Amino acid sequence: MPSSHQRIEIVRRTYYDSVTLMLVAKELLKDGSLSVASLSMGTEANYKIMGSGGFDLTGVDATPNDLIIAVKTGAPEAEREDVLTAALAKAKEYLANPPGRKADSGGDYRPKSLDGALSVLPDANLALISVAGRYAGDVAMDCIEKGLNVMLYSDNVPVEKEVEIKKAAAEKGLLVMGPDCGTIIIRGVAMGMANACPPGPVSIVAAAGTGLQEVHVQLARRGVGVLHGIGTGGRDVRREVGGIMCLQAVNALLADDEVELLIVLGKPPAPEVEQKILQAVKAGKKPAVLGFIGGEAKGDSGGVFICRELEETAAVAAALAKGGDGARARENLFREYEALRQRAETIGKRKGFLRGLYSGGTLCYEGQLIARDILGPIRSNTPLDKKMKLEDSLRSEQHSMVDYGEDEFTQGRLHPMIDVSLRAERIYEEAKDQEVGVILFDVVLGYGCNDNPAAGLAEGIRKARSAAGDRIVFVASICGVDSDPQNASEQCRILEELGVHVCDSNARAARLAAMILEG
Amino acid sequence: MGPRTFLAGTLPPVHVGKRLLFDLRDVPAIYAPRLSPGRMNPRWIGLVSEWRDFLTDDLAVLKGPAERGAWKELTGLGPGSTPAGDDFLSGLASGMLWQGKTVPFHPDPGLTSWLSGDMLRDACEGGIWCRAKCLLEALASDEPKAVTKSAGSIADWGHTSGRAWLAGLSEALCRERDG
Repeated sequence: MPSSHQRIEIVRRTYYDSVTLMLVAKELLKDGSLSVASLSMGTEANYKIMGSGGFDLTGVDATPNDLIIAVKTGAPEAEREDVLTAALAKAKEYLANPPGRKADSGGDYRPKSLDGALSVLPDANLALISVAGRYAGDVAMDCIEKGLNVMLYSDNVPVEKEVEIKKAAAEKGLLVMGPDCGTIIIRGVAMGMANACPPGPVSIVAAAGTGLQEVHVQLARRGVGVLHGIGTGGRDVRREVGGIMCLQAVNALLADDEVELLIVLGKPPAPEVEQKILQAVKAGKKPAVLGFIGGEAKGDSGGVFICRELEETAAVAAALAKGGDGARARENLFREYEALRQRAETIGKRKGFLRGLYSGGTLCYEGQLIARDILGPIRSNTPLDKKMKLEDSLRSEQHSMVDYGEDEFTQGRLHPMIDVSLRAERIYEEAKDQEVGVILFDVVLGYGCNDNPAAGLAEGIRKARSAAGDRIVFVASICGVDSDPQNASEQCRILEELGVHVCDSNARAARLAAMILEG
Repeated sequence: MGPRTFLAGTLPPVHVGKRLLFDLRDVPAIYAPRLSPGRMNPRWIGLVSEWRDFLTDDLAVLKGPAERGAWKELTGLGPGSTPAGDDFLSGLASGMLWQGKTVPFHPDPGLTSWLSGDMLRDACEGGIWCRAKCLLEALASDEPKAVTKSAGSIADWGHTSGRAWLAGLSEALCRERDG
């Protein structure tokens, strides 16, 4: 009987952070003896991902609390057993001493408890919480009781807990930024996944994530800086939470003399929350731009502008911040968008379907809105309309856009803004589909993100090119600036050398991608 | 106890087993290991308390006896070239003496290695390593940098020694406060 190409081992009740798992998997692949190495927790989503990666999971009974080490080789049969055995041994050795991680020694002592940290920094007023979601709410409550504002990076916090901690914080005049808040900017200093943009007169309240990053970057490209960027978590403006933190942040920023212009950003709030936000902003008597992406609210009034897209929000805000005309800035921008039709013609129209592969949730949402208006319904794992939900997020149908930052892809795995490998593989998979005409993707830069995402995606693009030739056009947007650790211009160069058409914003990339397929 | 080390340029040839005597009267002492009494600045309680959490994983074996105050059980117990239980007891002894309190155990060198036995005896007599002395001085101060620097240098000391010593110190400085 021929020996198997794969070996799977389950390490029971073992947890490693996803950065460690990514580093170990990368290290295992270095010597070229393995074709696939996967280290992930035994969640349902990871079973699917491994299955789609060609692993035979028959008999594998790992639970979400177990680590699965799965390796695959294309080595000749005579060598397979040795290669796989050595790989598993190496994996365990690396797990005990993760490669590429600095040893926790030799430096100053770093407190490990909240009380310990407050002993050292008694004047601290902000805590960043990144623990498993089921514990995060209690940790946040502890911080609030100690008078700390909270950046709640953790996700999977129950909504009832979110309401409880936000009410407690509001009573004390504190902010809870999150849950699932990956980006904040406080006095020009970025925390989490954020870009190296200059400070300035604008402040933003956002759900937090790539929407905030995109507007931050678009403002910087227009020469306008941001003082504060306060994330509230995506659920905050829903009916269940009632916009507790959005309103708290809006009022705090309106009262801040250093804030000259306010942006409120995110998916459209529940109608009653939207009304409260509008009332608060209008009462503040500062120029404001409400960027409710895809929202129904229309009509600028007084100093308050209503926008439906991210770049539009930034363009209007930048014009206002410079003492210009917001409405004219919007008109100019949409004229530039129309000019993309000519670019699409120059590239050459294609037939078939659009496949969008996103790392940013808000970018994926905006991409769907824009492409839907040009191409019709878009299917997604995070669809605009529930009826358009993909049955299987790993299998596209017709026009599809997939948000790889959704929980199904991040439980026990790194966020796609850090680990680009899943999307690189998917680019190749999509290219093999004869019905695909355009592949669209985002590249999000900044602190905390992959140190060279374009290079990480390059292998997938090259393989896709060799599989599909000129049938497929690749379109991308880069959310970043040259001062980011990855350097936006350098990332652009890498992608353009691979034949990718790079756009200055997600709104432009989604439009161009759809226009190339437009009948 | 005097200085524990000195640098000799050369030694004469000696036979195995021959006893050597050194006259160190003219050798200048560069470190005085005598512990001076002091008191912890209350701001550090939160920090020092967390050091008891070092008694997990490879030091979990110490946790039970430490919580019960079964000091004799700790002598010679656990991993490390100086068994971690002895490091814990040394930290405990130094912490108690620093506060002017009585050490709650009598060292029994016969229960452990000679080096560890010496270390325990010295600690109970008020002798203290340089790094540990720096930490106690920092804990009496209001200087975060001094505290994190000296605590870091101890946490990094040996495989388990530093962490076990800090856990013992925490026991001495926090247990009574916690009731």
